[in-house]
Order: sequence, then C-alpha cells, then structure tokens
Amino acid sequence: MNDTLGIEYTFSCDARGRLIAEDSRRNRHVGLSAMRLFPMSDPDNWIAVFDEKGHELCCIPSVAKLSTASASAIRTTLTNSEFIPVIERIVHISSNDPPCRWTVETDRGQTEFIINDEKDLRRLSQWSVLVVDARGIRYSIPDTRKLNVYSRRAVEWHV
Amino acid sequence: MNSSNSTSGDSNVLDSSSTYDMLASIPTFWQTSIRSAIGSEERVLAFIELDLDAERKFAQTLLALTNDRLIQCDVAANGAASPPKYWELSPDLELHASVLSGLGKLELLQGEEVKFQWPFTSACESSADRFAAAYSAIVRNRALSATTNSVVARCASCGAVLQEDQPTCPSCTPVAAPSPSASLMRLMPFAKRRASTITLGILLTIASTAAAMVPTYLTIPLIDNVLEPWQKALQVNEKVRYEMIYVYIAGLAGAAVLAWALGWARTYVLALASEQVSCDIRNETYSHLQKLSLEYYGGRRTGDLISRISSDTDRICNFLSAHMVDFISDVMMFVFTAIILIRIDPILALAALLPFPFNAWLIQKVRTNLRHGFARATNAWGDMVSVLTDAIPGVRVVKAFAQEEREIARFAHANKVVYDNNVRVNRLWSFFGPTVSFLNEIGVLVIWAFGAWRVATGDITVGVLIGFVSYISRFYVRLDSMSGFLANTQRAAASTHRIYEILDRQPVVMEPTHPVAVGKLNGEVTLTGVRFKYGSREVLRGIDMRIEPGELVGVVGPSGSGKSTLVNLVCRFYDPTQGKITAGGIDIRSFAVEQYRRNIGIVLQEPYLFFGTIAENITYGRPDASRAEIIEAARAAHAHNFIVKLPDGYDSIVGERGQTLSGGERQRISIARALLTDPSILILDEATSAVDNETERVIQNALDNLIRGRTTIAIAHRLSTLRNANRIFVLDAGRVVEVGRHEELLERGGVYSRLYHAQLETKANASPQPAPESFQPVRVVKLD
Repeated sequence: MNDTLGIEYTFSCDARGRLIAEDSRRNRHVGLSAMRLFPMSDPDNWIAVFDEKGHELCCIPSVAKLSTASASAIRTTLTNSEFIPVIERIVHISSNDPPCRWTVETDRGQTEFIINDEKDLRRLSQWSVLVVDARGIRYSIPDTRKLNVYSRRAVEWHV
Repeated sequence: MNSSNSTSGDSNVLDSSSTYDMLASIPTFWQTSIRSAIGSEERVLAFIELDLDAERKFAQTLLALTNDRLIQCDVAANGAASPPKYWELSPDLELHASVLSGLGKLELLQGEEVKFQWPFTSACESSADRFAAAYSAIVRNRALSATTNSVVARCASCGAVLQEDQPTCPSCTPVAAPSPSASLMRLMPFAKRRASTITLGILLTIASTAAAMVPTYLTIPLIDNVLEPWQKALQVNEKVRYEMIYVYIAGLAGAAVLAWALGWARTYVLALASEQVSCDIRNETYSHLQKLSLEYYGGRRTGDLISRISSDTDRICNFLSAHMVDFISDVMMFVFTAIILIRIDPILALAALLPFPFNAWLIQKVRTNLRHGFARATNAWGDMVSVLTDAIPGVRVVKAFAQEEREIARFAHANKVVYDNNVRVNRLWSFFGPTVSFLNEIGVLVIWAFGAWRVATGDITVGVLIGFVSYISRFYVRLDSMSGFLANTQRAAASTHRIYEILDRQPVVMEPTHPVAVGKLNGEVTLTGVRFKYGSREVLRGIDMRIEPGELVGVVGPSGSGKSTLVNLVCRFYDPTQGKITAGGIDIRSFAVEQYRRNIGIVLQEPYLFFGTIAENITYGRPDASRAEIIEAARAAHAHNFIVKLPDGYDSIVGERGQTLSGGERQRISIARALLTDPSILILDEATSAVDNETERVIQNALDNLIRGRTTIAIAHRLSTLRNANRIFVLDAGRVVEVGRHEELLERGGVYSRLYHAQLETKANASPQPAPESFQPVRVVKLD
C-alpha cells in the first residue's frame, strides 16, 4: 500500500492484538493505533495510522486496496479502539428538554446517560443521528426508521 | 439675459455644441430663478443645494458655478425668489469647504480674508466637498477638467457612488417612512405571484362569513313561526303542527357544518398563501443581501439585518394570515349584518347601529394609549437587558474594580423602571377588557330597551328582537379585534418598509455590461494613481504599485494609513474613486466580479469558520474537492496534525456552535481553505496578528506553503514576518512613503526602520527569551 511518501506497509496484529506494521525497508513499527479521518462521511477509507508517540506513520486512502491480511488487521484495530454503541431502542427519556437522562438499549446492552445540550444530538444524514453524552461517549443511530415509534418520536423531538 | 420663458431650445443648442452643461440637472424648483440668473453664453458647470441660510436657519439656497461666475439663488421667507447674488471667478478667490461637528461652511476666500460664507449641515458635506473641488478646477482651467469630472463622489455615510446630479445618497438621506398603505402596496408584486391561492382564500372568506350569519337568521322564524305559536297553543290547549321545527333545526345544523368547513378551508388557504408570500420575501431579501457589496454590511449591525429577514417577514406573514383576514371578515360581517338588520327593521337597525361608531372611537382611543404604554414597557425592558449584556461579559472588570454593588444598583434602577412601566400599563390594560365588555353590554341594552318598546307597540315580533340581540352581540365581540387592526397595519407597514430598504439598495460595485472573461490570472497586479475617498475623507491619495507574478509584497504602515482599504480595492470590495487597478493588464472593473474573486484567496486576521465539519470548511471555496485534496491542503497548512487529534477527525463540527478550536488552529483551517482554491492572487490581512509567537511560527510555515508560486500581498503588523518579502511598501496617510526589501529599508533609517525597532523593543520587553521550538516536525506535501 502506498503512503503519501511512497513507503509501502504491511499490517498485522501481534499476540496482544496490537497493530504492527512492516515497511518495504523491513522496519518494524509496533504499538500502532489507527483512526478514521472521516468517521461519518467516509468511514471505510482514509485511515490514519499513528506510532506509539502519536506521530502519524501513514495514511491509508482505501482499506479495500490493502492485502486481505493487512485490511483485516486494520479493521480489527479500528473495531477494538472504537466505542460507539448503536442505539436500538430508547426506553425512557426523563424530560423533553436537556439536560435529561436517557435510558437506552444498545447493541452493547442497556445503559443510561445524560444529554446536556440539544446540540449533542447531531443529524448526520436524513435518517442517521449521532448522540454525544455528557461524558463524551458517542452513540449512533444509523437509521431512525428502524426504531420503534416511541424511540423515533423521542429522537425527532430532540434533534 | 435668458428669462424664465426660455424653452428647451436653449439647452438643445448647448447640447449640440457638446459642451458640458448641468442646467437641466438642476431641480425643477430652481429652474425659473437660475434660468433668469444666468446669461445666454453661460454654462452651469456645477451646482449645489445648501440647506441653511446665512443665519444658520433651515432654508434652501442654490449655488451654481458657471464658466464665469458663482451665482447664489435663494428663497426669501415669503416664498418669493430674492434677486440672485454674483461673484466673478478670479484666480485669487478660493472656495473652501469644511465641516465641524455637524455644521459645515463653504467659504469664499481672498487670501486670508473671507469674502463670503455659506453654512450647511453635514447632509451636504460630500457634495460641498465636490463643489469646492469643481470650483478650484474651473478657476484653474476655466473649464471642468476631465480628471475632476471623472472623480466619483461617494456618499459620506455609506460609501455609495453618487450620480452627478445627486447631492446626497438616496439610501442614506433620511426619509420619512411612507404611509402604511403605500408601504403595504409594495407587497403587491409578491402577492401577484400567489394570486390564485389568495383569490381562493378571499372567496372562502366571503362564503364562510356569510355561512356564519345564517344560524342567527334562522332563529327569527324559529321563534316567530314555531316557538311562539307553541307557547300560545299550550295556553289554550290546542294542538299545533310541529314538523317545521325539524326544518329549522336541520337548517341550523347544516349552516353550522357549512360554516365550520368553510372556516377551516379559509384559514388553511389563507395561512398557506401568507406563508408562500413571506417565504418569497425572505428568499428575495436574503439573495439580494448576499449580492450587495461589502460596503453595505460595514455600516450596519448584523442583528438588525438578521431581524429584518427573520422577524420582519414573520410579522408580515402574521399580518397577512391573521390580522388582515380577520379584519376583512369582520368588515364583511359588519356589512352583511347591517344589510340584514335594515331589511328586517330599519328603525331598530338604526338604534342598534347608532352606538357603534362611538364605541369604536372609544376603543381605538384606549388602545392607542395602551400601545404607547406597551412600547414604553418594551423599551424599559430593553434597557434592563442591555444592563445585563453590558455587565455580565464584563464581570472580570467589575470584580477587579470591586464594583459589584454599583452594578447591582444599576440593574435595580433599570428593573425599577420596568416595574413602574409595567404597573402603569397594567392599570390601563386591566381597565380595557372590562370596559370593552361594558360597552358591548350597553350596545345590547339599547336594543333590548328600544326593541321591547317596539314589541310592545306591535311593530316587531319577539323573534326579530332576539335575532337583533344575537347579531349585535356577536358584532361587538369583534369590535376589539377590529380596533387592533390599525396598529397591526402600521407595524406590518414598518416591516415592509424595512425590507424594501434592503431590496431597493443597489450594489456599489457594479457588474460590467460586457464582462471580459477572466480565466486564470497570471498574478500580475498594477495600481495606477489609485485614490479612494470615503465620504470626504481621502484614505488613499494616489497609490502606484506594480506587483509581478509570484512576487511577495508586504504592506506596512501605522493604523489608518490605508492598508486595509488597499486590499479591499484589490479584492474589489470597493472601486477606487480615481485611478485604476489592472490584473493581467486588464482593468479589474471589466471582469465579472464573481469570476475575478475566484482568482483571489484571502486569509484574514480573524478567520471565520462556518458551522459544519472541518472538511466542509476547507472545501468552502471549492465544494467539489476530493478527500485526498482536502487532506493534502490540510497537511500543507499544518492543520492535519491537530485535526487527527479531534475525536471525529475531518468530520468534527466547528463554527459557532461546534468544537472549540484555538485561534491558530482556526487560522490554519482557513489557510487550507485558501490553498484548496489555488488562487493566483493571495491576500494575507494580518494573518498572524491574533496569535502568540509560538503559533505564529507554525502559521508562518503553513503560509510559506501557501505563498509559494503566487502573487501575495501581505499586510503585517509584525514586521519580522515580512523578512522574505520581495518588496515592502510602507504606507503613511494614504501614500507610499518607502519601497524596498527588509534590509534596504532598515538601512535607510526611515519610517520602516523606526517601526521595526519600536517593535523589537516591545518584543524584548515582553519575552526576553524566544520560545523553544517544541512543535512537531510536520510533513510538507508539495501541492503544485
């Protein structure tokens, strides 16, 4: 895979699940982290890889063009480093106006959080919404149409 | 001598001799007197209307300048023209215009001696200035020289270009607001577009009002033909037919249903129509506002412009959908009621309608007082809020000077005024509601009393009396809302007026009729004899500079020396008063404004980010840019490194309600934005002034990438940032005083070196040691 500087990298994961890269000059880079540069508008492309000190090692324009092994290593790293639960059902919202306590069922189980401000609910596209709670944890609702009636109304009210 | 009976033939002769004559441009008011005052060989070369007389009282005076003389015409107190005064032009007589605190004077000087003096208010300031200039030009050449002729006069308050025959700018001349009806008539073009919906709405209004009148009408025969006979029959134990009751009940039900359906349809259709109209107005006003030149925004508060587009259109919408519809239906109801009542019984109708005008007058009167009271209360409220907006942001100062008690007292005082005003208005208001009902009661009472007498004399039936009472009581209920119509009309008219103030405005920077195609400019910019006058204040006094393609040029100078004006002219936010600016050898005024500006990139001292993602902000000038280009531009602007540290990367929301970024970070995003548009001419307006030294260095690195290969005009306060400039122009009081490279200018020991050393001293005092270079090494990607 070509980086902007023309160095090729192959990625893999070590035993502890940490991302490792090896460049075309056989240099090994360990303890890497990966980040999506366009997490909302283009989540599958433009992945930046950082070294242990947080310096950018390279930028991957398209994961799909990597070798299968490299791509899966990058994807695993991304999945492991990201925590954006998907809200599947809204059980209860304490009040119609922020600040309010939301009780929701996510793909990672039921949880409660506080919404401080209206702007913490952000419409990404016509049907998808990103929720940022008071602690800064992000939750996503990829398609409001798939929610039940109560949840959908609650989200529409707050967005 | 030409007399007042001179015809257009004279001016034709003058025209055909193709000499300059402004006689025809003089307002009609003066035509008689001026034509009688000038000789047949004389041509009017300039004129001015002054608004004060010699005693500084408001009076009209005309000063005309011909090729031979200065002529004064004025109007005496009795309205008759007094004989004109003359001054022969001579080289030792000078005309001098000056303005001090609102009052100006034109002085005719002979050496130090004042031969004559004409006072005027500042409304005439810019034209007086022009007149004096024309005078000196004529005295010099005894003809209006071509250059003076081409000097464009500008409005003193807004900078708009004035026409030759226009003494003051039409947009800034304070005009009394036109009458409400005239203002509202201007909504007609908008209404015409939605004519079908509006017509339907009005028809529905008529129908629904008529339908609402039917039930009351049916009660009359119901009582007289059914209920009354029943009651009588009961008394004498007689059987009566009662089929008719079904007919009337069914009629009442039918009318109620009809009125309900029509009322619904009417309200919906008219609300729809008014929503369409106000939507059209909003769009039109906003798009017009966007097309207006920058000059318009300079003189106005943002809040005011925003409220014109939001609240004023909303008020018009409310007026059209609610108040006007209600009023029309009330008037119709009044007419219908009057017709019905008069047809049933003219005498009782007269008695019933007689108190109406008096009641209407009384309600109107009280309402006017009430409105004034509410206005005062609103003002007091505004004052109280402004105490808050003043003191709360300044709380650090308040605490530092331990002035909390004083602020509390200030607020308490404002709050007391609010309280007093509200109490006063509440007193009136609490009186108003019951008074209206009382008046209604009296109106109904009159009918009861008069009607009872008529029933007793056998002139009318009980049914008619009941019908009258129910018509009139419904009628009086509406009186209150009708009386509010006048106030609402005035308010809506004021809103319309405010919106048309925007719509009537023409952009100052004019689009050429036949624009030259711009394409990609090579970056060469030449200013030739550029002067710029802002009102009567000359900001630039003849700037000549030639900037080669790819050259980095610095512009420095003390504040007020005209640096920003120079840049505004190059961007064509304004046009020069005199002289010209060419880009690639073509006058920039012959390009289409938008196409020309596409060639210009600008990085301001205070970068503005719009609400949206970082990616959207970077692509603002080129929405079609690919993600690879966005990242490339961000890297080159040294913005990539902090963007990847944000949780959402390039999708992080910034702007007014978004992620908070530091000044340096915002600046680097705006540099990326400029990089992406790949401009041929780049303008850096104090791009590094608002940040600390450390950040300045990062930004400077970013700027170096941006500048490469482009013509760059950099305005800078910190002279150290201009070390690499090919040339530095030092401006002072609107003139270029020094030109050269950094070192050359330092050696010369002029204005530049003084500025530079002054800054070094301040810097040395502020930070004795330069900050260590601790920012990350950044990867530079070549863009070109």
